[in-house]
Amino acid sequence: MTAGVSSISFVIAGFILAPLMIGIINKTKAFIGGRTGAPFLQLYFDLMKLLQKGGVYSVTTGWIFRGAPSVVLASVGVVLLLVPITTSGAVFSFNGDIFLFAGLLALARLAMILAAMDTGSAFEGMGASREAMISAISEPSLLLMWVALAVITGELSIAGMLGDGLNPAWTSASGPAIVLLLVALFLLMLAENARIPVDDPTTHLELTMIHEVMILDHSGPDLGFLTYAAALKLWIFAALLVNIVLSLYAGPLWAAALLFGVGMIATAVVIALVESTMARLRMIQVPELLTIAVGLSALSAAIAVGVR
Amino acid sequence: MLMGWLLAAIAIPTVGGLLALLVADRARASTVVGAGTAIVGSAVGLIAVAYALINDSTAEKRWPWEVPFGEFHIAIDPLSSVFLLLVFGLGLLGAIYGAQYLYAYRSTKSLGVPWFFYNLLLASMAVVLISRNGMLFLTAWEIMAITSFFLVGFEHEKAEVRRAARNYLVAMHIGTAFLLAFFAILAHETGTLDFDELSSFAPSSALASVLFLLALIGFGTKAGLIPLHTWLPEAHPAAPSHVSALMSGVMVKTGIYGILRSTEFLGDPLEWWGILLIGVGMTSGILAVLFALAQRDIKRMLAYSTVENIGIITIAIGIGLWGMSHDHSAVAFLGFTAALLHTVNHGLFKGMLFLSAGAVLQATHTRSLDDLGGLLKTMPVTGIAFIVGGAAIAGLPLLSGFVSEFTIVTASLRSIELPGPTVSPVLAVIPVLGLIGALALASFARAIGIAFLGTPRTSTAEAATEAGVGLKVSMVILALLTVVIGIVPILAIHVVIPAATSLSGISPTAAGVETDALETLLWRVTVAALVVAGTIVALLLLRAALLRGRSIGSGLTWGCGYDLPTPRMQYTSTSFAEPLVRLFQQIIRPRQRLSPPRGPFPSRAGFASDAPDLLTERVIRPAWLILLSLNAKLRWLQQGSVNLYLLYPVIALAVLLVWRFGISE
Repeated sequence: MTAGVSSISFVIAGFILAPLMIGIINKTKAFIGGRTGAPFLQLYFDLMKLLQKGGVYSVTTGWIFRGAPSVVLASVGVVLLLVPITTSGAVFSFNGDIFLFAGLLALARLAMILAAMDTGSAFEGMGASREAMISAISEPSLLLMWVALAVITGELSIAGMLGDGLNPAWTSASGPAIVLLLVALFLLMLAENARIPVDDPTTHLELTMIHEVMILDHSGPDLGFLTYAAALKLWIFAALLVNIVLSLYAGPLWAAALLFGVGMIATAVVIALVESTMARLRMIQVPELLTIAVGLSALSAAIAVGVR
Repeated sequence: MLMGWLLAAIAIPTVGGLLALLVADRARASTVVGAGTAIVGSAVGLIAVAYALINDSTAEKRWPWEVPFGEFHIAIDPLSSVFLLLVFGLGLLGAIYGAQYLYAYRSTKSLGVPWFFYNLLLASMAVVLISRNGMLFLTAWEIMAITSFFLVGFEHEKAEVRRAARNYLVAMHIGTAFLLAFFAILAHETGTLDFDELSSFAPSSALASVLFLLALIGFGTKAGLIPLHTWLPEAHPAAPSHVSALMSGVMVKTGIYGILRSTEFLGDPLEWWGILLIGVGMTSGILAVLFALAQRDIKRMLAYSTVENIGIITIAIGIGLWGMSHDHSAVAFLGFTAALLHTVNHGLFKGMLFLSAGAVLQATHTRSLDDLGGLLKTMPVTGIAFIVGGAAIAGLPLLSGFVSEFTIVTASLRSIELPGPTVSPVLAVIPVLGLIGALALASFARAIGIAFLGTPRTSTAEAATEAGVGLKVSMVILALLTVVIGIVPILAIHVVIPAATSLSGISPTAAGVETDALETLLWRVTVAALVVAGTIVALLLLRAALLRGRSIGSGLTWGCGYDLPTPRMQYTSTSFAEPLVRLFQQIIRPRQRLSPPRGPFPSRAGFASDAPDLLTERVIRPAWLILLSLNAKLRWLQQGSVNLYLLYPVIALAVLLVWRFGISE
């Protein structure tokens, strides 16, 4: 457990800056669409507003619906502690923590799904059912990616896999494996965070939705928790992506941190570009897209194992 | 001393079962005697096993037994202890639960009979686990199969129960046939069936492989490994719920015990055994969880989930054997530790899930998910037990299922210390566990959401009331154990570590090193669990503080402005599963019958779907039909004439005489 000052401050930065990333995405999308768009800090204003409000609860719902947002935010928040920023190590790290990473995201997912089912609404049931379907493909793909990284680096913890060992691997025979898993991770980031082309974060038209429809009946601080958790989750996936790319650079920590920030902004812009240029896929085609992610990460793992 | 306690734990329920049969026509008396002795016997057994585990002590007893190769040889060692803990633990809770559960049948059924068989099942399972002689083992194995057959057939007035019980009996005997072959070959090669002597038997690798396959098929049938599982989703739902809990939680594990015990007779394992077990386990895990997802019957779904978890345990055993074949002590040790840990954990939470499903069945008289709904409000304890069990089975942190799957992942990750691409089958376990976990999450989220959340779909579901005290006590104890093992796994691993050490055949020093390493990791899991739990509590408090004094409105669930929703508008179990069923339709192959509305004024329309078992439909039934047609070809033997029937044994005798004396000359 290398809980250095730098890794702690990176985690705090993550907790503070995660909503800004959504702001950058939305601003970029507005710019491409020729609109002024909401301010960069809009999500902060929304969260403040939501935390100051009361709540409205459906008579159908019980304690599951009221408790779930706290479970979601707690699980996603702890996942952030497992993710290293640059090579400075994570706040909390141990061999096999990849399974905790997957498990906590699954815990958040179960809480979301049960809260949605608690409303007794067919819309939310639909969202819950689709969420379960998507995760059934994304979770094995994510774990395959970790396996590939473990084989490439010989490390068994997330912080170790994204540590100094990754830099020499780029120029070794397993270099192509890293590229493949980056593409897979990008697809997974879009799917897990309900972005286009899997889901559409801007519409509340229930029949097309996954994430947004599941939070349809939440209000007040509960909705604030869920929205913030969603921002944190996007930050986590983007940070993994940027970190793997950043392992190409072996310079001083401050420069790496700066590059990390640039990378996060670039990721936000790329997501916005994808969302501005693509339409959401039909639900029936989503598994096909995710199967590509599974295929790429499987290929990546196969290369990693094959060249060792 | 230790053996005395164990024998008492076996004798008390046996005698009590006979007494319960004597007073079978008096419901109260037979319940008190039957359940009472099961509880006392199990408690005595638990004390004995706890003593054996804490003091790391073993015991042995031998009496002569006048059958070929037979000896009344019993012993308790760490491996037996792990499984005995489950037998007595769930046996005790099942008896507490069953006392109240079965009492509801007192006006239509004799209660002495099920208690007689329940107690005998308990005793026979215990004997299976402590017998150290092949004949004794097979005898107890057979008693276990027959007593559970009668328990499955408890509601024999229903045709589907009779069919399930018959299937069960046939499947068990097909499995036993392979075990007979297994022990017959052993006896032929070594001249003994004493387990102590067999464990020093070092067969050639070809013979060992044949024996391994026989044991895998024989014990795999009991464990319910795909494709030998087809009896399980029929038999487990048909039995009374506390028996389902005992069967799914413990009895199928005797198959796992058999696989583990038989590896002790086969010398050093070959690499492909481990890979085969990993492959079989993966197949069972993935297929069974997909079938579970498509079930509408709550107990049938739990039965499929048992097959899934047996698959996970088999994967872990496979990793252990693979590690042994590569002389990698960490992988071997962690694999067996994970297998035993998951055996215990699954016993606890699957037992709890069946008890919870039984409470729902008793309150609503239906096992169909789509006739339930909103039960968490009327049956909070039952509902929480089901939610805890479902989350544990999906391998979520804070609960015991996570710990055992984490140990499997650790074992699998450690394999990369070995060079070359030979590690691929072991590494493939990790994404497959992810797939199984995500699908298990989907199927349990579906079961919880449809049965316990939302609004009641029928009037019976609306009128449901919470289960009685006996039912609640058993569920609460199991739920607490699931949470405690999930948060402080250190408490549980020492139960299985001695057994894992002896199975993996590593030195005590190596075991000590690996135990320390595992403990360090599990402490991290504890820290993570506490941090998550603490954060959840903190956020709940924050939420309560924020909402204090503010206006809390209440209204209808948002229905796009429609204000008269009915329970029928909710998502159903079929609609929830639809995206995944479609995604995996090559495997699940749902049968759908659609009669669409016709004409300008359609009067009626209908849609029905169900998911028959792929293996039953495609393998077992065709095989059965072939068997029947072969049987028909032998019909000419049956001429109905007594003279002819008398001739058959004469011919048989003549052939035997010629064979015996003709050859010896």
